[in-house]
Amino acid sequence: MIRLEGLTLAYEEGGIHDLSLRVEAGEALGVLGPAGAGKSLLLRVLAGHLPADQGSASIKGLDSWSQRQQVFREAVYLPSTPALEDMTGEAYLRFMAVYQGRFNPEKARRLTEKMDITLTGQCPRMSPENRRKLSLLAALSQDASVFLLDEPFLGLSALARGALMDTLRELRGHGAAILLTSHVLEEVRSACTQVAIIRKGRLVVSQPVEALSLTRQKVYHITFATADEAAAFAREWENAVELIGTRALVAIPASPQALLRTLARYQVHDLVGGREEAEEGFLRYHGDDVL
Amino acid sequence: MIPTLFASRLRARHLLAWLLPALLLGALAVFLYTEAPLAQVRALQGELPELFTVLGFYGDSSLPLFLLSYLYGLILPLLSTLLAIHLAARLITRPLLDGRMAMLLSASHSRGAVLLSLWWVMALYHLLLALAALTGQVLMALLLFPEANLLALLRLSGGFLAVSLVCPALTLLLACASPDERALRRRGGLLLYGMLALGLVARLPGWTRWLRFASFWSLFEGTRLIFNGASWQLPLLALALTLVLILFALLSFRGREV
Repeated sequence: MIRLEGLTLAYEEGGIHDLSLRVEAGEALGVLGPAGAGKSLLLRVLAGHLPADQGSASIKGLDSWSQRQQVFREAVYLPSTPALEDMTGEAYLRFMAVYQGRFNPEKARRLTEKMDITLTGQCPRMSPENRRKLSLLAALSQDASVFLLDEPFLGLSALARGALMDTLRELRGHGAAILLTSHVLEEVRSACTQVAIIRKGRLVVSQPVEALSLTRQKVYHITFATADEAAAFAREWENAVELIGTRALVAIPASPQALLRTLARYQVHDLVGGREEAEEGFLRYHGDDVL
Repeated sequence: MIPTLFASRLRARHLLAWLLPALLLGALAVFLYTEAPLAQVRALQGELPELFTVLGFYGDSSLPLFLLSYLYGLILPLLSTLLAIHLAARLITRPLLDGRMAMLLSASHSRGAVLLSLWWVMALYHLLLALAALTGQVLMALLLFPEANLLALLRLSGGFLAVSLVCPALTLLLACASPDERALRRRGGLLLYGMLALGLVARLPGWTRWLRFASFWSLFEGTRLIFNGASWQLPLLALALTLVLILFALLSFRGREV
């Protein structure tokens, strides 16, 4: 349904480099990454708003740039910033219904109730959350088989987030392919079947959501007697060591046996260990980019 | 054209804000042709003849000639210029920047159809502006000068409309090619006010007369329209120029990043 093959696009200071991804019918791919990683750019290319320098982006076999008009008979695109017209919420929905031509009033009615959206009042004067909910309502009420959603959870209350997750699961159940972006792992874990992490426009990892827990590592905080001892340990133990004065942080995927053998040769004051949380694993993929 | 999009861009209050001044200016220009104000205008002209030449003074032997001088010489072209830049920013540049254009293009309508719908909004505003000015003139003329040549006023207005459509076509192209509203206003201002200024300076005697060829406003030859009902070559040329500019705008918009 959604296919990216070696997609490359130079854009301002960042861009996308050799990105390949696939989303099939009934799947939802969550693209994770910090601000500036290239998530929105990726969606804009897929939505036919930007041409790629190299590689291809297609939806249902249609090229996103050269066949964009046909692409939008199948796909819905939601930008990260709500782009509403200067009219009331009701008038905006009526306008989008006629303009898009595939609006499903029954879906809209159910979503309005679920997300508790206020449609009265002028769009520009609505609260940021209501504006976001209205743009989500306009996008998700369409009868389409592909949904490209840029940061759909951003600025939503817990209630609206829950309703959105239900709706996305429902869409998947009806065979829709969904590609959404986020910078919060928990949202992707709840709403998606696949996760792709991108960093500086490059794909770091792409795997089923369940695999995220399997790749979790164990993290040990070790305090040495002196900074020299800590540095010597860091030289010896090359993998995943972060050094702060006399303290070293080590992440290992398997048994601590080898670590304990190595530590036996050093003056260790303290050793604290524990299973890495999924969020920490996500941070590990991004290094210092998140900060 | 996409009727829903076209209709959604028309704003009654916004339209009135442009049409009412045009209507009043049209009526006021006719009122100035009555005895007392005309005497004052003539006195002022005696003191500042160059200024009146630059502003496009063609004489005051008849009402249409007087209106050609005081309404079509500077005021209406200036209104058209302001409206064209304002509309291009409101309909194209701002939606391009705030994501509304991305939403409009995320539908199964072609980019050409979207842009042409917006062009028709711009063209309709200019048509209504010319009509409002004409209505003001005709109403006041019927009240004060029932014997005035209303057909000549109609021809003047038609010729002006044809030439003034170049303004929105030019700003349509500039909006498609400009990265933001500031760039549009800068480029549009430089080009359109520049052409207006060239058109004014070209009215002075001497070598500056040649400058008229650098401005599309020279395609509006009001005296010909007043005296010769069949002289529509220049307005038709302006319409052809408008068409060419729209084609360039469509080409520019096809490859534009959103």
